[in-house]
Amino acid sequence: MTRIRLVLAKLRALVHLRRDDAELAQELATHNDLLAEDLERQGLPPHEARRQARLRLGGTGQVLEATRDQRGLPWLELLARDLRLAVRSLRRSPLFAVTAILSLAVGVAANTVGFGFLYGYLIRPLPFTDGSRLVSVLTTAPSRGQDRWGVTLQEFGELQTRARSFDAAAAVSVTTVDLTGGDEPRRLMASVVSPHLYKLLGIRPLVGRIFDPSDGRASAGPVVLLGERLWRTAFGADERIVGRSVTLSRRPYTVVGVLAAAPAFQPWADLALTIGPDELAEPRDRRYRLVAHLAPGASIGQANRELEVLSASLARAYPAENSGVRLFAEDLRIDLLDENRGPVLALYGVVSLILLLACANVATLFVMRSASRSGEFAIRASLGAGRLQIVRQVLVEHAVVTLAGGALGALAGLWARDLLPAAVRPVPGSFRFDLDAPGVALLAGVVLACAFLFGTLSAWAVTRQAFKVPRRAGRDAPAGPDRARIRTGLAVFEVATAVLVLVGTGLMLKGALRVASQPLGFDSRNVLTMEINLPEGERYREPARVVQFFRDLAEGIRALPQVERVSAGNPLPYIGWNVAYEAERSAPMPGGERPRTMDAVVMPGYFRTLGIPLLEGRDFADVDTRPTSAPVIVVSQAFARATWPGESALGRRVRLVRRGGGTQPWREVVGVVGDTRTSTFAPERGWVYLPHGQPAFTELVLVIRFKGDQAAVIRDVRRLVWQVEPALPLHWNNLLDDLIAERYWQPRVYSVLSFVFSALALAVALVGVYAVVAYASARRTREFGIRLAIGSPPSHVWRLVLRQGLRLAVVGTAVGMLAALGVMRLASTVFFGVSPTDGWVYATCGALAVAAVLLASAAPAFRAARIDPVTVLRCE
Amino acid sequence: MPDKSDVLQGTLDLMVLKTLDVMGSLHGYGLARRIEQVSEHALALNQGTLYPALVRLEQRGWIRSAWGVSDSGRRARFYSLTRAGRRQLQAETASWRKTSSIMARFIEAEES
Repeated sequence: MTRIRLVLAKLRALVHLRRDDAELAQELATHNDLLAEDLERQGLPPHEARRQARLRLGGTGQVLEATRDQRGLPWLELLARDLRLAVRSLRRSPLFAVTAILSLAVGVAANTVGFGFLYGYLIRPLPFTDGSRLVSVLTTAPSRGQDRWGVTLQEFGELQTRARSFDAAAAVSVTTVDLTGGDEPRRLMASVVSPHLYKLLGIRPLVGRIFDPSDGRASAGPVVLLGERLWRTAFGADERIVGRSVTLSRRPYTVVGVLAAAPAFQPWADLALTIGPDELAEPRDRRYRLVAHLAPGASIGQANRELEVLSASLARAYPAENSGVRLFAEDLRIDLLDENRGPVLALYGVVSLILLLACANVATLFVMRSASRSGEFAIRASLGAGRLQIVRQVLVEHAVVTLAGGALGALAGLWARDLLPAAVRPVPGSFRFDLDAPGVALLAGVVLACAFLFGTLSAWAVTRQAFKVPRRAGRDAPAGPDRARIRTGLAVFEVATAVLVLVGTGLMLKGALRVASQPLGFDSRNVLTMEINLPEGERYREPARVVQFFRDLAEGIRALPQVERVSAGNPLPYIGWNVAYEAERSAPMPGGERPRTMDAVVMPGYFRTLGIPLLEGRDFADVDTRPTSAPVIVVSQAFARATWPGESALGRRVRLVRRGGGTQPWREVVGVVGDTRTSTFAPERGWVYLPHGQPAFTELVLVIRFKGDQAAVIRDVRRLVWQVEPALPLHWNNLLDDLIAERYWQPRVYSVLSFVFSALALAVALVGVYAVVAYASARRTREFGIRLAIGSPPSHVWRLVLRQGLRLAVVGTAVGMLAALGVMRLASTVFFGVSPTDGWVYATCGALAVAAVLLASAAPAFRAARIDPVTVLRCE
Repeated sequence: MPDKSDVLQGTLDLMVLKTLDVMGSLHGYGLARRIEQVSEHALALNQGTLYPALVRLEQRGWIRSAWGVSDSGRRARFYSLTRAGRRQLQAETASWRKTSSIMARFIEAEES
C-alpha cells in the first residue's frame, strides 16, 4: 500500500517537476531568511547575517538536485536524457539513421505480414477445450508410397484399448450425402465422427444436444447434427427442427441438435453423422484421422514412442494391412493446416530469417558507425564515463532505431496486408490473415528481443574498442582484429542468410512456375460452366429421363447463336475424385494395393468442347448413354501407359471398385484421350471417363464454349432450363478460367510472397554488405592515397576494394548454400514437385548473390579509386 | 568525533517524526533548529539532507505539509505528522529502543 502510494507520488512529482522546484526554492529562501533573522538577533549586522546564512547553508543548486532525485524517479529522467542524446546523435548522421531504420522497417514489415498468417494458423491456441494438448493421429507408410495416410477403425480400437498416452480419442472422416425433401435437393459435405468427438473438443450445440455415446449404435436410429450454416439456409434457423427427421441419401435421420460454426475444425462440413453400422462393417477402411487428447503428463514424444510399439505389434498381427504402416501423432494445429502446412511453415522460416537479417544489419551499421565515433567514445571514457554508461548510450540509440523502424515496419506491414490480397486475387477463404492484440504483442516482443540481442552485441563490440586502445582522440585509432572479425562475421552471416532465403524462395517460385507452366491438358478459355442439379423425385427416377433431359438441354443450347460447343460432365477436369480399379491383364501393384485413378462421368462431345485431344479410338456417342448399352470407358494416356505399359489400351477391360457401390461392370476401353491436370499435380494414373447414362447423374456441370456476351449466354441458357424445369435453382455459373484461378491460388499466392520476400532479403543484405565494404575502404583511405601517390593506377585500387567484396560474397554464398542444402531437404514438400537440390536454382541464386554483393561494393570501389592523394596526405 | 553533519538516514527520519510529534506543526528551518537544540548542537542539519528527507517522508504519507505564515510573518511551509506517521513513529521508537538496548548490553559486556 505504502509502495503504491510512493510510486504514485513519484509519478505525480515527475509531472509537477517545475512547480515543485519553484516551491522548494521558495522554501529554501524562507529557510535562509529565518536563519539570517536569528543571526541578526544574535547581534550581527543585517548584511553580515545574510552572508553568514548563505555560507552555512551552502548552494541551493545541490539541495534542489538532491531533493529532485528523492522526489522523482531519477532513472526515468536519466533515460529521458539518454533518449535526447540518442536522438541528437542520430540526427547528426541522418544517412546512417535512415538506412538503419529503413532496413529494420523492411524486416518488421515482412514479419507483420508473415506473422499475420502464421499467428492464425500456428500460434493462436485452438478454440477447443485444452486445445494445446490435442493431437492428430495419422499413419505413414513410405514403403507403400504413402506419406500422410488414414487410420482404420481397427487401429483406432487398438489405440483406444492399449495406448496410455491418450486419455481420449475420436475418429473423424468425411463423406457426401444428398439432402432431399426440402425445396431443393442438396449435395452436402458431412463429417463422420465418433460420437464423443464434440465433447472432446468442447464444441457446444447451438440448439439441442451434441452426440452422446449411445448415438451410432445399431440399436439406436441414425442421428444427425446440422451445421449452423445449413440450419440457417435450408431450415430457416427453426429451433423446432430438433427431434424431426430429415432424409439424407434416401435414409431418415433424426436431428438431435445444431452445431455452432467451428471455423477451425472441418469448417466446410454442412452436417455431422456418427460412425455407425455401415462404417463398422468395414474396419479396415483407411479413411479416418484421429483426434486425441494427451493424458496428463504425457508428451507428443512419448505418444509417438508408444505408437511406434503399437504399430509394430499391429504389423505382426495383420501383415497384409499393417506391414510398413506406422501410426504417428502431431500437433492438431499442424494437421489442420492441411494443404497450407508446407507453405505456411516455409513462410515462417523465411520471415524469421528476414527479421534476423534486418537486426544483423542494424548491428553492422552500428559497429561501422562506431568507427567514426571512436574518438567521441575515447573522450567520454577519459572524462570518466564508465563502460556501462557508454554501452547504455549505444543501447538507447539502438532502442530508438528499433522503435522507429519497428513502428514504421508495422505500419507498412499492415498496409501491405491489405494490399496483398488484392494483388493475388482471388483469394480463397482458407487463406487467412488475422493478427489480434496478443499476436501484435508477441510480434513486438520478438522484434524487441531480437533488437536487444543484436544491440548488446554491437554495443559490446563498440565499447571494446574505446576501452582497449590507448585513449587517444585520434580519428585513426587502429581497428583491432576482434572488431574486424565481428564485422566480417556479420557480413558473411548476412550474405549467407540472404542466400538461404533466396534458395528457399527460388525453389518455391520454380515449383509454382512449373505448376503454372504445365499445360492443363484442356482449353479453359471462353468456357462457361453451369451446374444443373435435377430434383430427385418421381420424374427423374428413371435414368433414361435424366439422360433425355440433358440431351435435350444440350441440343437447345447448341442452337444458341453465341454457342460454339456444349457438353456436360461431373466433376470438371481440374477437380479430382479418386477411385480404385481393377484392370484385365495388368501387372498387380506391389503390396497387393489396388491402383487408383481419377474418374468422371461425361456426355458425348465433352472432350471436343474442352479441347482434350482424342488420341485413339472414339468419343462416347448417344448409343453409349442407355442403361442397356454395352459398358464402355474412355481412359487417358497416363492411365493407359501405367496400366498396360507398351500396349494399346483399346479393347482392354477395366472395372471400378467403389465403396458400397455394388458390383461394377467390366467396361471396354473404346477411346484414349489426352491427360488433364488437377490443381497442383497431374495424377500419376490419369483419368477414366464413363458415359453419362452409365450411370446417369442428376447433377452435371454444363460446359459451354461461347463467343461474345457472357451475360446473354447465361440468360438464354436459364430460359432453356426453366422451360422444362421452372423451379430449378441455377445459382452457379462461372467462367472455367475463374474457377481454375481460384483453385490454383496456392502456387500463385506463394510465388508472389516468395518473390517479394526474396527481394526484401536481398535488399536488406545488400545494405549490410555495402556498409561493411564502404567502411573498410574508408578506413584504408590513407593507404589508398599513398598507393595512388606512389604511382599505383586507380584500377588497382578499386580492384582491391572489389576483391574484398568478392571474398565476402564467396564465403557468404558458400555458407548459405551449405545451410540451404540442409534446410531445404526438410522443407521439400513445399516446392510443388521441384527437387530440394535443384542445381539450376542453386546456381542462379549463388550468381545473383555474388553479383549483388559486387554491385554493393562498386560504389565504395569507385570512390576509393577517385581519392585525391594530395588531399589525403595533407589531412595527416 | 564523527563529522557533525553525518546523520544516519533512519535516525534522521525518526528525529523528524519525533520532533513533529512533540512540537505539532513546524517549518523546515524550525525543524532544523529544534533538532540542533535537542542534540545540544552535536548535530548540524544540512539543507541537502533535511529537504530530501522531508520529501521522502511526505511521499510515504507519514507527514503532510501546508503553506502558512511564520512567527516573523514570512510565507513558509509547515510540516505536521499524519496518523500513519504517528504509527510509524511508534514502530520506529520501539525498534530503536530495542536496537540501542542490545547495543548497550553488548558494549557493556565487552567492556567488563
